[in-house]
Amino acid sequence: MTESSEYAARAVNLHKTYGRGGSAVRALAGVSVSFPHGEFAAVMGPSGSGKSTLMQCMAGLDTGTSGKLWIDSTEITRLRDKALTRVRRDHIGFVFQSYNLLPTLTARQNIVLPMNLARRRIDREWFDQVVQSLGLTGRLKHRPHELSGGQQQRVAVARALLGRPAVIFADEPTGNLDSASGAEVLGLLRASVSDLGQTVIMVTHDPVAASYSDRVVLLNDGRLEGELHNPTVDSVLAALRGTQTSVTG
Amino acid sequence: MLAGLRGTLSRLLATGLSVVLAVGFVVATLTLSATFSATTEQTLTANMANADVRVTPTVAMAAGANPREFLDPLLPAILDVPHVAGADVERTAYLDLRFNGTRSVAKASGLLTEKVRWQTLASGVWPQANTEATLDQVSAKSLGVRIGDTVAISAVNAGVSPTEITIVGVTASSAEGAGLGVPTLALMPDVLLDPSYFAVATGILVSGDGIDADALAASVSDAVADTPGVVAQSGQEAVDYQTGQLSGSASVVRSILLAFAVIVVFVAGMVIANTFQVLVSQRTKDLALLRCIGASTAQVRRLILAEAAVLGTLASIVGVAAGIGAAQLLAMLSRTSSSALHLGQIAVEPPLVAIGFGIGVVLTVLSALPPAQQATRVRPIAALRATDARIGTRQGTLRGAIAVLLMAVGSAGLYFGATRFGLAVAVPAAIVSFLGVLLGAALVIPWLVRGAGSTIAWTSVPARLAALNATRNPRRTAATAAALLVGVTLVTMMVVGVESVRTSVTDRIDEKRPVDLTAQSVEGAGMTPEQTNSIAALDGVEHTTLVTAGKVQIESDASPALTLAARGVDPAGAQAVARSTVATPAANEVLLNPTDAAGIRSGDSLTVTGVNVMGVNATATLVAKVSDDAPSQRATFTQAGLQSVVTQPVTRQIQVRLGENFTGDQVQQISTEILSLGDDLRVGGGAPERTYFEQVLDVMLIIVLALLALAVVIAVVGVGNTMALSVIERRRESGLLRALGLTRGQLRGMLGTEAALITGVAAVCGIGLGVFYAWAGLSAVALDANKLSLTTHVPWAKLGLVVAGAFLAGIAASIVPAVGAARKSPIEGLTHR
Repeated sequence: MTESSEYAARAVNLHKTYGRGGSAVRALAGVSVSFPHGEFAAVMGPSGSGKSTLMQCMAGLDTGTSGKLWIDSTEITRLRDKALTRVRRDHIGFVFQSYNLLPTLTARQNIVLPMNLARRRIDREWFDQVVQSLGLTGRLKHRPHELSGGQQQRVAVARALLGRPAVIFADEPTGNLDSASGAEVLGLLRASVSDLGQTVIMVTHDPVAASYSDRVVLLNDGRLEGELHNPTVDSVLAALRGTQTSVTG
Repeated sequence: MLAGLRGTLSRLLATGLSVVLAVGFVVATLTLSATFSATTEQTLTANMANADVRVTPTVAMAAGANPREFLDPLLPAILDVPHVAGADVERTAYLDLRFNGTRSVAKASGLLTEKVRWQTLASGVWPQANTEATLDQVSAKSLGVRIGDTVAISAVNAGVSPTEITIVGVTASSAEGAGLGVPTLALMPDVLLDPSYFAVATGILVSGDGIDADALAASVSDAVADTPGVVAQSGQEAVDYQTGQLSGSASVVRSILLAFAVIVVFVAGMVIANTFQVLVSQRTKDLALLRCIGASTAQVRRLILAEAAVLGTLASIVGVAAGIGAAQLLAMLSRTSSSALHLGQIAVEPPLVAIGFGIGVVLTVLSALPPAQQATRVRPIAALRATDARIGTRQGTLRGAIAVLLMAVGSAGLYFGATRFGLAVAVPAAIVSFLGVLLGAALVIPWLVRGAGSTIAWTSVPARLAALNATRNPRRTAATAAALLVGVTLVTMMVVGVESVRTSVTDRIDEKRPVDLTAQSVEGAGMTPEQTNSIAALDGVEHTTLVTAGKVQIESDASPALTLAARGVDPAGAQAVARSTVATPAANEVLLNPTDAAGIRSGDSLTVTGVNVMGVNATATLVAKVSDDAPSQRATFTQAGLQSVVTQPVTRQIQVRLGENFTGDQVQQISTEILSLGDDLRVGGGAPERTYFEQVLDVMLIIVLALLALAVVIAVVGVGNTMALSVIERRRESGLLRALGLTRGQLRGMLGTEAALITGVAAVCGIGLGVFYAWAGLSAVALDANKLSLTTHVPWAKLGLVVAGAFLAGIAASIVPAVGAARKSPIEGLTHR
């Protein structure tokens, strides 16, 4: 990634079909979407709309059937597994619904895991800053099962932030959390975008979570249905109701 | 239910494989030992194929009387017994057989009367005249003798000129004499009556006119009752009698093989239990779903056990077939190779096959019990949720305490058995301590694996993760490692044991008989330079040195005059051909054995005079050197020293050192070549003895290792199963790691490292234990047989190979699960369940 592109992540005419022939399921039917640097975007849609598939393809966890994908200036649709793994390791951060921390490692080891895998030197100042801002200072030696759900998810956020990736993908990051912990995590993601210029793409079905974002991308039936800038809970709900009606009507 | 089996067919292969190997081994073992017994019986009664009764001299008698003819007077009396159709005296002699410039020792027997003749012709006819003979098929082929060829026979070591005889028939090879490898001739009985052949009567074969063998034996017994030292036996009696004489070697072999079978069944049981755990864990969700929709715990348990029964039955059938096939193959191999053990047609005994089959089925079902129990204990709803690997299991403190106690008592017993009390204490102590080891493995092995893991954890993240993962399920890790530990311990014990015995025996042979081969002439003129040069030039001969001979008279102040045979050696050359340090004289010395010295002491001045046939005697003054290592009944000089008193010493002997690692066949070959250089030559030396022992030990080691290797193979299959289970349990983690940037190669490497850690620890512990047990065993044996000096010799290179082999096998076992895990896209792992 010699020169930075305008967008942190971009999909052009992305198709994804599961199975073949009569039983084929079209998860994505030609999605083109771009996420600029420094944006906190939310991807929303009803179940089966393809929002998770879109995220998985864009994050290089899955491959599309056709179409092109970029992370920053790298076209990842051309990459083989090894190079793709490197892109994930060095340029993408992940936050999952079920935290996904390694149970054998301490919080600290979990946070630095991608950096260790890449054998990259850890910037101590940055590490301290991330840990402090996420309120994990006293928890670094604990193992995941000794932490609460909110704490575990904050460890996951710290892991994603530490490498200063081009983009962080968050898949239902508040799905398993109570509302207070959820709000905390969303506030942290919001702050990372506002204060640090991080790019975050979040898949969610929760209008409250979406209201923290800069822009909501609406998906239905594997197609882009519209966008919502500076969303509020109400405008998101209204937009979702619109997609619902368009589905049924 | 069968659908369940089919669905997991590929996963069942590992379990099936363990069952097949175990059952196959048991069946092969039992079949081979039955075959061995049958072969022994056939061998013992081969010469009674056409006879009902054999009159055999008892051991005491054979030593006392004139063995040539003491049986002959009995023959007319036996022929007079009612119902006797025919009888004849068996006669055997050893004689020199010359053909085409080769000379070998052959066994000759007198042609028996047709009624009791047991040999069969492969081609040609039986001899009709004194100048005709038959030769056995194997030797005819190896010597290149064809029907119609003329060979020369003569008495061994006698100056009688050879007799020419024509080979008119070739006898079929039979079980009898198998493995002797000696050419066997059948001659007219009259030929063997020539006293120079020194033919020995070994028994009288009697055939009846169809009467019951036991009744005939009774009446023949009556007829020979007046002659002490002979017994008349029917075939069965003879077998019982001779089997007793062989101290039941068949049953010894059988119990050794059975001990290995028990070990293999034991290891296979551990592995099968582990595999079922894999199978049940893989299907936890299905089983839980069954519970949710109303299946009772008993139904789920029955389902699993029924599956196990079906699997056990199918695998056992395959195992039985494999076992019989393997036994057949081994029996065939034993007939073609030059090994000491020749097996006849294999004997498949239905009861033995049933035992192997039953063990397979019972073992499988029993192994499935614990996982079946475990599966029913899972709460239905818990099982339906995502399964994350649990961390930590309960520690059995009681188990630990018992293990420590057993190990402490066992090790102490073993130590004292090895150093003071012998095998009677050492063997039970070894069993107790090994039980302790197996019990304690669950506690100690995870700890050791953790320790080993911490030594590599710093190298890379995958290594650290592998180290952590290796002990996540300590009980499973311990069970996997324990199966391997048993195998490696036993392999090590056998390798060290055999290596030590071999080293001790060959050291002893080197010490007693330092020279590989010697050739000497019985002619007064000694060896010709042509002969010695030809011997030195033979293939496989590394060094040679000549020994000259004469006769001397030794006078000294300390003793009356001695007349001794004298040998002249080249000190440097003599040492170069010897395999241990030999006593040699200095230029002005005479070497004497204390038994000949008659009061002479080292340093005494001796006046030595040659005793020469020609009457030209010289005298020299030399210094005595008396040494226990000196050969007795001769005085040893340097060659120059001998020449100073005996003006024309003859070259009596050539000593030969062979190259390293010579085989028995090579020694035989070289001996034959030397013998063929002249009729006056005789061959001796330690090499035949050495190669015989080495060959016996090598064959033993190979057989034992082949048996034990199977235990290791099964254990390695177990390592593969454990890795498969780990991969399933950690599907989610693997997906996460792949998402976070672990490459496929790194993931495979991580799993390989984990397997290597477990196998490495098991192998190293096994080596340690094996060496300890071998030391204790050898020391205890040496204590019991107090004349035997056995030193423990650890062949580190071979043990290194064992460790490397176990290590690589462990890594190889992880390949299949690892490749499967790495092939999945990260999202497959993450979204599973």
